[in-house]
Amino acid sequence: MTDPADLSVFEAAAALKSGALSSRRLVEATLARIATRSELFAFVHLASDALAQAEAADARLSSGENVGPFCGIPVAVKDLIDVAGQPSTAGSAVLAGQVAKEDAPVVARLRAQGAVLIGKLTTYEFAMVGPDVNLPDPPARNPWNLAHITGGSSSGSAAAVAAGLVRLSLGTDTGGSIRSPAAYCGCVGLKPSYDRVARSGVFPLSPSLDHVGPLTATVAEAALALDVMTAGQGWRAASAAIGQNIRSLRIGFARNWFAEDPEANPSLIRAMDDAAATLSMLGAQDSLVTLPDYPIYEATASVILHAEALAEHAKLIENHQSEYGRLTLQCLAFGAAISEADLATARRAVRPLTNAMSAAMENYDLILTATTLTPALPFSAFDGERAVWTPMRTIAFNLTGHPALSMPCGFDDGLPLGMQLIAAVGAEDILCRVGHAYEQATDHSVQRPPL
Amino acid sequence: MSQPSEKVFRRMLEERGLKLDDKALSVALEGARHLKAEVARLTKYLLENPDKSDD
Repeated sequence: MTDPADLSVFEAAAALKSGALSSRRLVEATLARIATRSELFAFVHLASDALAQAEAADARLSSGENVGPFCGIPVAVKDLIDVAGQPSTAGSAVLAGQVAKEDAPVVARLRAQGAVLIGKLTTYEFAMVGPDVNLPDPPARNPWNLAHITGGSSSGSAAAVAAGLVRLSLGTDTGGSIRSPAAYCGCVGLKPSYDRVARSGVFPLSPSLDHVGPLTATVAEAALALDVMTAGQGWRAASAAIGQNIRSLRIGFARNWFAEDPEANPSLIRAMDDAAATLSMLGAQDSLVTLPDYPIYEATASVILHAEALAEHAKLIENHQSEYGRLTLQCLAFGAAISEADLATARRAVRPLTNAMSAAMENYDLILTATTLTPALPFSAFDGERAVWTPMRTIAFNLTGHPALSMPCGFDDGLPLGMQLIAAVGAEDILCRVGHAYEQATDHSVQRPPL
Repeated sequence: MSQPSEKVFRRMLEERGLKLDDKALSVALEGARHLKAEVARLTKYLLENPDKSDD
């Protein structure tokens, strides 16, 4: 018999509604799964009331109430996002002992449906930099190889989903913090359009660039989660086009964004070429597209991020500087050199850069490119003294606000590789339609780590 | 765009209440100089690509 912890959200929801499964049993199976994979350090807190939440969901299910798809389903949340009654430390000793009084609105929407908020997930400290082995919470480990990092900052969110601990986790993405760990760990990560998901109740890193979104095992689950998180706000449903064919969709393959970079892993280049060929075989009209040069987007976003992050932390630095991790404090200090005039220069660049990106994407329904240029690095590449930046192609879309989806597209030496789909603002339905079609045509997403 | 000297950067950190040991300061200065170089790159970009959205 299938372990309930292995059921998709759709399968579990159907079993819960039919009475074939109870939320209590599902949550017990999930807690057992989490306990057997503690070496991942994906969770920093397990909810003491998880079974009580499950029983409340069971009561709603058995009453015949017309519940939503996440009623009784365990969901885990990055420890940067408030969940009422659970610790909210942003992965830092600075906020040790802090417990959230209220749910962040994005969490409240899931809780209102009856989702079981099963616990909090490991994050890089304040979503800034990592891994840092000197913090109170050990960094999450990659389920495919425990000697490798998960990427971050939504490190526990990706590890938990990829290892089959939960089907849905919430993460945040300021420069790629949903998409890069999703790519490194082999799961789906969806950074929605800017402002699509409410950011209140989420510790800010850089408000101009911060996004909240789901990490899931499959694209359809990401689409469903996003729809629940943003229902009634006038956005097109992300799941509306799941299952539709992708014939005649115009896909711009931004190959030069990764293939011409000497850091790009050869297996990644091959996997991306295979992905483009697969989408073409599914009927999409693929052609190469030249996007604007990536480094200028990275430059603009980096200046804004460091200036805004230091401003966000000013008060905490004043009172708790000694409690910060070394790497985080170093990175925050970069921003001290950015003047108001520098920040204004960066902000002035955002509109022309966004316009240039939108113009380059204009003749396409979506863009295909790499998420990261390499698989996850080993922990041995990090000395704890300085940050190591891994090559990614993500932060441009934090700046422009375009939605972007990372999903598995292959492996290199047993470690996952990720591809990225990008569409017009509000067109998450197209991302999910194409992502789902690709997922169905390949077997990358059904691979499970050797735990 | 001038790069901050170590002395100037130390003053910038002091103004923000940041205290770093010498090793951390060296790493932070490198990062800060990188960001200043990025600002110079943006200034050049804006000169070559003026925002015409309001024209």
